[in-house]
Amino acid sequence: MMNNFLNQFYPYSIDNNYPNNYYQNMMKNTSNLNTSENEVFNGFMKGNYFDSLYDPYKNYQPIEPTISTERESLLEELQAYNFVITDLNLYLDVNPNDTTAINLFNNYTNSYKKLTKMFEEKYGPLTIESGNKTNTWQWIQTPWPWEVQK
Amino acid sequence: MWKYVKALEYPINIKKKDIRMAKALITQYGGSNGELAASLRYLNQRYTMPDEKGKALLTDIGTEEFLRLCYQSKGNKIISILKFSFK
Repeated sequence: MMNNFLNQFYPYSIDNNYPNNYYQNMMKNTSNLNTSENEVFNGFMKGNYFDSLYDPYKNYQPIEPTISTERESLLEELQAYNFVITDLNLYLDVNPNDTTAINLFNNYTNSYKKLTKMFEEKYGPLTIESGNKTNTWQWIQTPWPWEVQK
Repeated sequence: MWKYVKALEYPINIKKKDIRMAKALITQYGGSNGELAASLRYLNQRYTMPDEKGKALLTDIGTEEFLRLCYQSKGNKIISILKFSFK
């Protein structure tokens, strides 16, 4: 009843999530996912974890960010994992049955959690629920992302 | 729900002042076709999405657009460029 009503405005079958597996066909060539950990940083640099979905712009080569302190390098690693998790999140939204991708996602979230813990022990909390490990309130002591570090 | 992470989405290193660049960035940040408008469009359109994938995807893309504001990837650039410019 509801489906019939909606179909007047929305011609696609609601049970099948879009006609002709629209999303799946669009992303068919991503079935061979990168599984090596090196690909994390690679994807982070290019802004695309999926090699087969990456169209380079002319001769553009990604510029490596300048990292000078240990804090920055640890943070960069964290950011790389965060990026890959986000990219896999979007991929899995439209390919929910891809078990390789789900396993990868789980691996990366575990690595991300470990790295976050490492970072927070050294440099203070990243999120408010990470807790406060000293007698003073760390949240207002650690630098904010927009503050230029020297 | 919104959770703040005290880190950027991507490392940023501002080397020189560039007020024209700052001007261009600020329209991408809060302009009519900027990140703020885009994220709100995604996050409002998801309510009328009839399928599960669509709901999830619009939520995640909307969040992703919002990240650019929250993680201040762009905001950070603008503020840093402006700071350098007025020094």
